[in-house]
Parts: sequence; structure tokens; C-alpha cells
Amino acid sequence: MLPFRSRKRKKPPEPELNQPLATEATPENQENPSLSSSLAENLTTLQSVFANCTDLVYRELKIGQEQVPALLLYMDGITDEKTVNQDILKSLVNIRYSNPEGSGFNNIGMIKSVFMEIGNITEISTIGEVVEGVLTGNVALLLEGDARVLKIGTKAPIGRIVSEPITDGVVRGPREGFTESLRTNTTLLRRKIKDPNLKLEKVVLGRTTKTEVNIAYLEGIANPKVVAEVKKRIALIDVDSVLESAYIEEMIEDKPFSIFPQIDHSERPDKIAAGILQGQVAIFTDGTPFVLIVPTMMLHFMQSSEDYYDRSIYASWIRVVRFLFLNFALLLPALYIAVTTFHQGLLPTALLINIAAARVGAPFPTIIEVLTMEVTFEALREAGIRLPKPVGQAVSIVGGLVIGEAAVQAGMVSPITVIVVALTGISSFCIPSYSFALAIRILRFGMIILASTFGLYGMLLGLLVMQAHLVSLRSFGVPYFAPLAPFNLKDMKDSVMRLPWWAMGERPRLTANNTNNNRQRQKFFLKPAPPDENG
Amino acid sequence: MKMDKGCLTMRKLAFIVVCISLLLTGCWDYQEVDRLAPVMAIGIDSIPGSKIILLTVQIASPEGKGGSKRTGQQGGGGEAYTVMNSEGKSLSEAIHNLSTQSTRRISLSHCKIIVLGENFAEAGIGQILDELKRDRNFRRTDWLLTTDKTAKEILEKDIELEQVPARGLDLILQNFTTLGRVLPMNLSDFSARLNEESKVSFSPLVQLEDIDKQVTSQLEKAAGRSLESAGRPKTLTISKTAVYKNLRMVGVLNEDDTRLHRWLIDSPKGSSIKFTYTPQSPTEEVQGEVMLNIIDGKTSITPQISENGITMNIAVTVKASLSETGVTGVDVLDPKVVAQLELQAAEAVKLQLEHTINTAQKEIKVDYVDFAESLHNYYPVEWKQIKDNWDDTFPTVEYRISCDVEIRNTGIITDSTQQNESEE
Repeated sequence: MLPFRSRKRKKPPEPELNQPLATEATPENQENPSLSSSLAENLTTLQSVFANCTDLVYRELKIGQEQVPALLLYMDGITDEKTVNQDILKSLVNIRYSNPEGSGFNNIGMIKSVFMEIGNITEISTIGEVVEGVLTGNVALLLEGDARVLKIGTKAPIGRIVSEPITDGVVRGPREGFTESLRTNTTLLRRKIKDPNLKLEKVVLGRTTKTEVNIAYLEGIANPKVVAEVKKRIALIDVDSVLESAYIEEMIEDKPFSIFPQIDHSERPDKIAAGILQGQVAIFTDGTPFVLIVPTMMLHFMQSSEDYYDRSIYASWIRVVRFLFLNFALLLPALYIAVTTFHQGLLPTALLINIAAARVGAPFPTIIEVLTMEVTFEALREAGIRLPKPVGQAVSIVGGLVIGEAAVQAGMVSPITVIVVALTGISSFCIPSYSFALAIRILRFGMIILASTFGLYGMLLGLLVMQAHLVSLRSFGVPYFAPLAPFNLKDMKDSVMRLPWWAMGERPRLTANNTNNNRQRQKFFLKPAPPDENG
Repeated sequence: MKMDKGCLTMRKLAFIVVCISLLLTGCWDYQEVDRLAPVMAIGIDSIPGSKIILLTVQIASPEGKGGSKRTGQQGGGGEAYTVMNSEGKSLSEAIHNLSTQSTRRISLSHCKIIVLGENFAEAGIGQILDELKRDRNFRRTDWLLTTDKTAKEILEKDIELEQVPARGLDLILQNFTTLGRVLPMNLSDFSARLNEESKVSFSPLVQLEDIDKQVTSQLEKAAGRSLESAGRPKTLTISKTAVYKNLRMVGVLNEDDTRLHRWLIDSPKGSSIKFTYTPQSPTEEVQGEVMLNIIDGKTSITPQISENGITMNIAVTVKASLSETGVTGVDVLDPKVVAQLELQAAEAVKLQLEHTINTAQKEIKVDYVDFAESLHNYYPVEWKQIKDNWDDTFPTVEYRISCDVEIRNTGIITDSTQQNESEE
């Protein structure tokens, strides 16, 4: 009664999209003035916009026989210098020789359609567009006497080469991973799905960062409602910066305060491609190798892309092991506390005596021992990630030997606690998804406290609440706990176990488009069989 | 409905206080495992004519368990168990009284053995049986043992190879469940039998025997001199059965009757048949002990009521393998000889069974062979009339035993060694 009473009635949030942000100075958001036909005027305007931008290059030149003043405007570094020099400048210089009649060349349209030896060219006509084009790595060509500007696409391919992903490691499977460059990432995807139905829709997010975001989905297979919902939620985002896909993730989640992650991410092109092929929608963000994929169900966090590359029997076994250790990671320390401090009758007699013998003279109650060791383990893990590699090894030696062995030697903790904590630590690494493992790590502490307070009864209560929360979650309209609840036998083919590929005749019901009955993804009855010898 | 603001804060405060007090201290039955005294066995004695229960508990002590792994602490000394005694008017009072001498909380949930002293068993066990069944700490699977001494003597005795004797007794009884001569009884079975028609139950009898002394004295007799002996202490043995009727111990079955009793009640499986083989043809003079190991077997008791009275048909079928012949010149590959062996084995079984049933009918006069139960099952209507004076009827009940022994496996060894010996 009491907690409900204190709950405040929330006001529905007012849409505040039209309200100005702090970074209002950018000209895009002011009334967007058109360019004038005077080059000098345009130059002044642009110079005031780009004041103190040393990386901006103004290249003034005169083109054609009539020596019409022109201006090339681009950002140094993010444009491809080679293209600017070899293609753009050359084309402009060549106008003089190639157009003896000489009357129409001072027309931007003419330059675009006749002279420019570049593929990606658009005509623009406002200051805002010029600014944005220049900032995203294009070259702007301004011409005296023309109020239009040519935006010439020359983005420089900067960024690291495609390399093996650090997360989502596999033994068998592709070794390439996404990079920080959006176009590289979408290319990796295109190379896997060669189908015009693979749509990549561009959205620019972040008033200051102007991060390009691509929404990728397979038309006809992705659920149009989900696609529309993704677009709608992304369109609502109005921030000044998007530096990583997590910015987007947090703003489009269904339940922002849930402890469980509701959107999966990966830096593996094969995993994203597989998701898109079964009807999910991927969200590529420029500047990060991590691509979001929605809708996500809980089981997705327990699946590794390797499950689909190993033989189905092995993959199913590995999944079963993973689920076992998921339970260990969540419950083992709590179970240890509950059983040793409340339900000693459940222990085998010999184990009871062993545990008691190991605890003789232990100064702290079991709960303190376990909490101390768990927190220490968390610290070790965090330190292991943050420290530079050479030092990391030292930490693991100190952590493993000193904290484990010495704490037992000194009689601070009992050896069985160390075993329990170590096993729990190993178990939590069995969860393929790092973010899901983090959720389990936090929940484990809750379970420990419940177990030390109410024993197994408390643990069961905790699990009950957790389960109720899990089945109430939804990710873009898809039940989070599906296909277990609501149960769907056909989707169970790829859940705790994985059936062989020849048995995966249909796409999953809940993610794939259900409207036009195209759930079938391959011929049925593909089970290989040797030909009948009798003919 | 407007909530008083002060009241709300008080409620919140109360909520927080409850939360904190639970989180900091835990629930009421929170107990660290090293602050427990795990009772492994309890023994119950009484003095004739007195209502007081004398309780003996055997408590495992973790400190003595082969030495703790902790350095800087005592390294390995100490007994693996301690024995405590207390008394009280009832079992639970006696258990409560233990707390006056124990620094740790008495935990009964690991108790596997309940030993009843002779005096107590003869005086009647109804008083504690109720408590044993009611207290959730005593499991239905706890073994019930009776002794012909006092329970205190039994629980103070070590068992070889085991650190805690109660565990040793538990292991012996566990072995008995699959094979063996004595039918082990747990609390549930024991009380279930007491509720049956005949109100008869039984439990294995644990004894203290000086096997070392027995063997030494026999050897001394043979050698004609006094032998050097390490003088090992007395040993706990379980080979007999105590019979209860109406919650009172009324008699003890000896080893043979115990074995055959198990045949009747349970099955012959895991037991053995020993008999003296006499060949048919008088020309052969071989004669000797033959041992059959029973691989599989079944006993069924079918009652029959006619004008002549009640007859019990006892059918025993046994599949056995030849374990030792002990006889020279027995050709176990000859089907005729095997058939002879089978016949004589069946005869031997018959005689032994008759002896056991006679003991029940004539000596102890208690129906521990389940005649009443099978009558009740086959003739429920008639049973209602017999029921009231069953105790008088039982000794007069006729029975017929048919036994069928099949020797499945004689082994491929012929008696070659013995042949050779006799030739030499």
C-alpha cells in the first residue's frame, strides 16, 4: 500500500521540439537566407559563419575565357585532396579551352552537366546548405553572378581499415568488423545482402555533430510498423551531439529505467546482416563500429553469431551451457548464502561439515564475505579493462594471488567463498552480450541481499519480480521474453536450441513482416539425404 | 481522501526501519553454518519404571574433521564428533535441555540415525514416535535402529574407516537397502507398518560385539597357546531384527530368521542359499556345502479361506548363480546334477522358511510375516471377522510353501583344482 501511495502522478511530457537549444548560433536554424548572386557578398557571409576555422580552405579562381570569378570552399582533411586537385580544379581550368562559344559557361547548371568530371554533384541555393555541405566533407563551388552553388561530393575515406572485432569473438565465422566510418559499415552490409530491397535511410542527428545515421532494413521482410516506429522515435531525437550509438539507444528504448538492455548492438556485419534478414531493423551511426539492431528479445543477448556457424548439435549444447551459467552468474552467491545461513538441512551432510570446517574462526558473516569478494572482483574486472595492457597483467596476478590466496591464508574469508565468487565470475563471462552481463551483475547483488535477508524465499520473490518485469517488457512492440512467453513453438527453433539450417524454413514470427505471408525464407524439406542406391 | 502528511512520513519511516533492520540482521532463523551443532544421530534410553527420557546425541564437530585447511589454527587434532547427553520428560524437552551445554545451535536436520535403547523399546515408543513424525527436522527417511544395550553405548562407539559413527551406520543401512540380510527400516516405513492391520513392525538391531576377542579366542583354542592380540575395541554390528507389536518391542529374530524374514517381506534378491548337497546315486560319496547367490527372486503370499480354515500359500521363485560348490566331483555342467542342485536348494529354502514362520507362530507369537496384510488384501470382508481375535488365530494358521530355484549360471570353472588335489 505504502509505496503505491507515494507514487506521484506524472504529467505527460510536453513536446518541446520547437524550442531552441543552446547552440542556436548555427545559421541553419535561423531563417535560412538564400545565396545572393554576388560572390563577394556570399564570401563575406560565409567568412562570418566560418570565422576562426583554420581548416577551411577558400580557393579563389577565375574560370573560362571570360575570367569569371569563382570560389571553391572546402574543409581541409575531410575532403579528398586528390579529387579537389585532379578532378575539380582540372575541370574548371579546362572550361577555358573546351568552350569556344563562351556564353553559357558561367551557368552553374552548365558546369554541372557539361564540365565537372565528378559523380556526386548537387545544386544548392541556401547558405545553410552550403555550410552543412562543407562541414560534411563536400566541396562547394560558388560562381559570380549565380545564386546557386554546386555541392561536389569528395568525402575523404578516413578511418581505420576493417579489422577483427574486439567484442563478439568467434572461433568460426567471418573475421571482419565494423569501423568508425559509416559508409564502410554500410558497404560491409551491402556486400552481404545484394538486394535492392535493402534500404538505407539517412537521418542526420545532432545539431552540432551532424552525425549521419542510417536506418537499414529489408523492405518486404521487416515489419513496416517497426520500421515506421524506429523512424518516428529517431525523428523525435533533438540533441546537440550524437557521438556513439548509445546516445540513440537510450533515447529510443521502450523502458528507460529497466535494468535490462532492450536494444542489442554488435560490431559484426554478419550478425547485423542476419538480423536484417530475419526482419530486424539496424541503425548505423557514423563514428562508431557499434550498430544497433531492433527489435531485440532477451534471447538475442544469449546468442552468439557463432551459434549459427557451428553444427546445430554443438550450438544447441553451447546454448544450454550458457543458460546454465547465466543462472550461476545470477544466483550462485545468493544460493550459497541462502543455503549456508538459512537452509542448512538442504546441504549434503558431508558438505555441511566441510563448509563448517572451512568457516571455523571466520570473523565475518557469510554475507559480508561474499559481498567483499564480489566487490573486489568487480574492481579487478574494471581495473583489468582500464589499465594499460602491460600493467593489466600485474593486476591480475595481484588480484588472483593476493586477494584470493592471501585472504584465505589470513583467515579473512573462507575458501569456499572464493570458489563461489570465482565460479560466478567465470559464469558471467559466458553471457555473450556485455550489456546483458552487466544487468546480471547488478541483479546478482540484489539477489545476494535478498538471500541474506529472507533465504531461498527471498530469492524466489526476487526471481518472481524479475520474471514479471521481463515478461512485461517490450522492444518496439515485440514481447521481450518471446518466444518463451508468449510461447511460440515455431520460433523455438532458434531459442535455447538451434535447429539445423535445413529446418529453419520460416523467419521468426515476431520480428518478420506478418502482413503479406512471406515468412518462408527457404525451400522446405532441405534435409540432406544420400540418393537411394536402388535408383 | 487526503492523507495526513505526518502520518505518511511516519509510515515511510516505519517502512525504512523495517527494511534496514531486515537487511542488516536478516531473518530470525539466520544462522551461520559454523555456529551450528549438526546432530548426526540421536539415541533414546529410559530407566524402567521412570517417565524420564535419557537422550544421547552424536554431534559432528567440524574442527576435528581431518584438521581445517586454515593455517594458523589448530592443525587436525580433535575428535570428529562429540557426544552429549541430556534428559527430559519428553524428546523435545530433552533436546531443548541440550542447549544448556551447547555453545552452538542444535541442528537436527542432518540426523539420519535414531537408536532406541532396549529398556525404552520394551517400555513402549509411542511417546516419541509422535514427536519424531511431527518435528520437521526429523526426516521420514531417517533410519530407525533398536539395540539390545543402551543407545548411549552405541552412540559412543567408533566405527572403523568412518570419522563420524552415525555416518558409518547410515552407510551400512544404505548398503542393506539393495542387498543384504537385514531389512533396513526408516521412520516412514516403520510407522506405516504399525498402522497396518497387524500393528506389527520391526527394525534392525544394532549390537556391540567383540569380534576381535571371539576370533582370538577361537584361534587360541586351536593353537593351544595365548595369541598376541592388539585388543581392538568392540564393533557395532547389525545382523538381527527387533520385532515391535503395539509400539513395544516383543522379540528379537536371530540372524537366519532375519534373513528369511526379509525374503518373506521384501524379496530374496541379494541374499544367498546355503545347503548341503547329497548326490542321488549312492555310488558317489561326495557331499558338501553349496552356496548359491540369488540374482533375482520374488515371494508372494496368497491366502486361501476354506472350511478347514485359513491357509497361506507362499510361493518363492529364485534365480541364482552358483557361488561355491565346496564339493569335489560335482559336475556342474551336467544338467541332471544342476537339476538335483536346484531341487535340494528349494528343499533347503523350504525348511528355513518353515523355521522362520514357526518362530513367529510358536515363539514370539506375533505376525511379523505379513499374513494379516495379505488376508486383508485378498479377503477384505472375511478379514473384518478374523481381525478381532487375529492374535489368537495367527499361531494356528496353516501355510504351504512352494519354492522354485533356477540356477542360471554355474560359471565355466569345473572343479579342476579339487580334482587335482584328490589325485595327488
